[in-house]
Amino acid sequence: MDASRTRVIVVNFAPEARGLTAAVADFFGRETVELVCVGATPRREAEAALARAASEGLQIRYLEGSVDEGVDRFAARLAEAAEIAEAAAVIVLPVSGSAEVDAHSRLTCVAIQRACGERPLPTTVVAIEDPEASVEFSGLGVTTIFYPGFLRAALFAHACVDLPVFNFILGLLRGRFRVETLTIPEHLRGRTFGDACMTLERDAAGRPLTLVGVFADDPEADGATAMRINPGARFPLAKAASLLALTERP
Amino acid sequence: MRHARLRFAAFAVLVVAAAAPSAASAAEAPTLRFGAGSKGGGFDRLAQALDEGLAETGGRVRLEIDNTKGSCENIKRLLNGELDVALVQYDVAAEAFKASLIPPDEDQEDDAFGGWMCKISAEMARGAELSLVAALSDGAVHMLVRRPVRIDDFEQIGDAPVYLGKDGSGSFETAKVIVGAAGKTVDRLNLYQGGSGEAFDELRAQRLLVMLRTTEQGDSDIVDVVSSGLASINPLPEDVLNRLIDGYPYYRICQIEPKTYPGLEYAVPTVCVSTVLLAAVPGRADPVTEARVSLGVDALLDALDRIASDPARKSLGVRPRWQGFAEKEPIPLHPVASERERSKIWRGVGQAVGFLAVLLTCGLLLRRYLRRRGYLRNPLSSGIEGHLSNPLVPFAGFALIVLMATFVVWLLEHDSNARLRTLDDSFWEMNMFATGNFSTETLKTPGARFVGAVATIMGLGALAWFTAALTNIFARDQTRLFQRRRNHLVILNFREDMLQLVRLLRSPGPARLKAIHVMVPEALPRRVRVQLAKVKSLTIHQENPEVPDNLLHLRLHKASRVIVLEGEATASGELFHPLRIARAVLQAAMTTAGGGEVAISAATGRPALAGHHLSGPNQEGLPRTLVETSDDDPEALFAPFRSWLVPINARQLTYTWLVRAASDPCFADFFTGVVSFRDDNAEVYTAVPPPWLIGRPWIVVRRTLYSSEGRAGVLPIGLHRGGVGGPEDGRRLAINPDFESVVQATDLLVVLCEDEVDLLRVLRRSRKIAGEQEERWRREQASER
Repeated sequence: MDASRTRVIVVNFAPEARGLTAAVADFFGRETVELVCVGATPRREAEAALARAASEGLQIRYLEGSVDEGVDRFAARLAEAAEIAEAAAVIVLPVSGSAEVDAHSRLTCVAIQRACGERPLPTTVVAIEDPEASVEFSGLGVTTIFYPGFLRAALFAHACVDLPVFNFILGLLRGRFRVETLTIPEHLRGRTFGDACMTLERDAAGRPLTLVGVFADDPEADGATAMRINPGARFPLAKAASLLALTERP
Repeated sequence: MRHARLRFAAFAVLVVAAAAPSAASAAEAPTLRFGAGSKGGGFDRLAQALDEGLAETGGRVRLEIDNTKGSCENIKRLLNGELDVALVQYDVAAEAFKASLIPPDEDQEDDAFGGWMCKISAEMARGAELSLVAALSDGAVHMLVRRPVRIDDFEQIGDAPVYLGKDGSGSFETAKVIVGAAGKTVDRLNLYQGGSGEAFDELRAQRLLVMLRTTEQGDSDIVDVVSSGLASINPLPEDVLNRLIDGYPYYRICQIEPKTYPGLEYAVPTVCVSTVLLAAVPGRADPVTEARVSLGVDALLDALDRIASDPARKSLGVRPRWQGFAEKEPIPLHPVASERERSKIWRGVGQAVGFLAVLLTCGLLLRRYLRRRGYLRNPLSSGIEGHLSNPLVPFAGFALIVLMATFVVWLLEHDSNARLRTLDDSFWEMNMFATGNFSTETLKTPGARFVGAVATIMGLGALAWFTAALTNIFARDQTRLFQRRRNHLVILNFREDMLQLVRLLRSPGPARLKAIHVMVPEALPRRVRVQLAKVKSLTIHQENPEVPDNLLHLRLHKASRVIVLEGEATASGELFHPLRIARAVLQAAMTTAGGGEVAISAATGRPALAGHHLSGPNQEGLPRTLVETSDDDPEALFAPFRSWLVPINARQLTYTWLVRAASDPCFADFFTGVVSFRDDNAEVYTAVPPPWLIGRPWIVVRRTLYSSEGRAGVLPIGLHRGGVGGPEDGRRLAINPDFESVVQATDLLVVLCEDEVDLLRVLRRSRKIAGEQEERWRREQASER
């Protein structure tokens, strides 16, 4: 295990998902990431699917196992072999052959939670098949629930409404555009979001900067903050924890 | 044969003599003995007009007008050979003609007075050969009844005084047969003897109950008496009308139109009879006499045309006709009139053919234009099956059946059937028939009954078809009879998880909702169709999207976007591949854009196929198309279509999303907020900059929008270079452009806002702020220098 690399764990990996390895390599860079894939597919078959990414320089490790062997047993495997608590991010894929795909993913998340024990869960993203099942994941420490159907629908919908906007969304998705968090400067604390927009026009490097929102206290979650995109020019920054800016990757 | 030659020679000599333009020949113009009516009466006015008309048309013939007592005397004198031409009421003339057809009984002498109208005997009728020159004007029988009495049965008259006209007049003869049709004789009526003027006085004095008068509609005497409120016009009872027409088919059923007389609000059914110009040639007439009459008829017809076309003589009501003025017209046309009729018919045929040719040419040109514009479907796709399922087709068929039956039945029976006096009557009767209420009592003639039966059968069939087509539509869970196919969205190969796409498209963000056409596979579950059917302006089509002909009716070349989705394998193994669908889209769009013709490739001379290079969507009429694919290298697979089609590797984008979300939790929230058209201020739109923002640096535009007051506020995030046209390319998008970048007229502003309407409103109100921000920026620039 290379501690200098960002470790990403993909749970419920199957050979059809080999495209995920390319996405990981593209986003993190082959030299800086270590990918650990865990799945029920036999090792030889899975490694064959991963061989191409490995040959291109991506550090990949495959572990055989799934929650089907029992939540506790699988949790132990994730804790010991994958050292999941140390990972930067975990991606849980749906198991297409399962009788109840999202229930299987939920049990997987339970195993991840048990594997981490008292330690906080790494950033965990779960892909689900039925958007109605998202509520079942509350309390499991999951960062993001993702419904692939929504992504497709959103992309096509924007392509129908406005092609330039569709390109913007593609750029956002592919990492060309990023959203960054900025600390609110002291002199703007008592001002409004509109004032901040008119004042913070360039970043530290002198490039144009566009403020698109804030992180503010979430009235529904005690102590937590929530993202508010375009909160309005009169939004008081006193209520905000930080600013959100849209930047373009150079 | 010899006789005919003599006649022709005499006619030729007379024509040449009459046509010679010298004063001497004018003085020697042949003379026609003309029977008019009493002085100052209607017949007399007509005769005077004809005399003037003859003079105006060359004076080839001179009239020697005899003032007589009317139709009866005229017909008798025609038969006696004392007159050449006369004005006669058609019923009287037809009766005389009918009498002349009775073969002489050599064993028995004919009575001096027969039972025919005007007491004409068969022997007298055989005295001359009657022929019709033309029907001139119409008279309608007016039954004037003293107010407030209303008569719907002649029995109600009893012994009350009645005026039927002067003995010997056509009006009296007509009244006699009307009374006869009511089952009474004039002998038993208390007849008022006197002139019509005196009869009107009696009516005004309330001493007369009923007055039957045959005259043109709008007669001034009747107007006076009706407007005084002393009498009203009553309809002739329907049974009397029918019996009259059956016994005396020389009349025709008509109606006195509403508003003809003061206070007359409804049409009054009655009978009409025409005044005709009758010629007579004595049985043993020499050819010269015949030729003279023929010449006279020729000249009279010219004079009639002149009178009919003269607006100053419109009050005479002259409208020359040779047929169609009575239920039956037994009197043959005079040979000259017959010749005129034939030439008029041919002229009419020529005009009709010319009109049809023009109409056909216009129709063909219109069809060509519509095809070129893509409004007409390709013949290949508009098969009988498509027509069968459209409820508008049987509805139109039903309307056509009713209209045709209306016209044919009216044509057959309007002169003889009191129930079908007008096209309006006929229309409502045929509506009854076509909805299954056939009745033999309504129609009289076998021809009309046959048409009525056909209308009933076909009408019921069309109604059944209409019902079936509607049921079919409801069975498909949608009721879209009218489908917008312009600037519409087309989703091909729809599947269940894309319901989310439809929901997003119907979100309240975009300013205008476009019509959506969804082509679904057979295997799509019914519950999904039911959900789709509830969406506004969405039409479901169940067809194979890989077949170009199935896509023709979607008019893809007019579509705003086409989305091709990946299919799900069904139990039957059916799977539509996006590449094959893309080919079909190309073929269909090029076919409809070419007005139904498959486009020919300039390179190969064959129909353009998927592999041909295309110069761009706007030139080729190809819609902007997005294809969902999971192939490893979709760019290469769809390379032949790259100028108009964008392949979207949805699976790979899913992985990208997962990785982005895993590395940056902000991304997931921001992405979801931006794309989901939720009810907050986080939607992205583009807009054309208003003229006052064009030419200004981005920093000024940006500050202007920051300072503008919208419902929520707009955040400008960048520019899309080069407007909406041309191939779409992410490099045209500039997020956070340099502040000095000048906004061009072809640029689009990319803005985060609440919705499109709000953005447009903010832009409309930004002119003043733009000026202020420009000033501020200039001051900043100056201070920096």
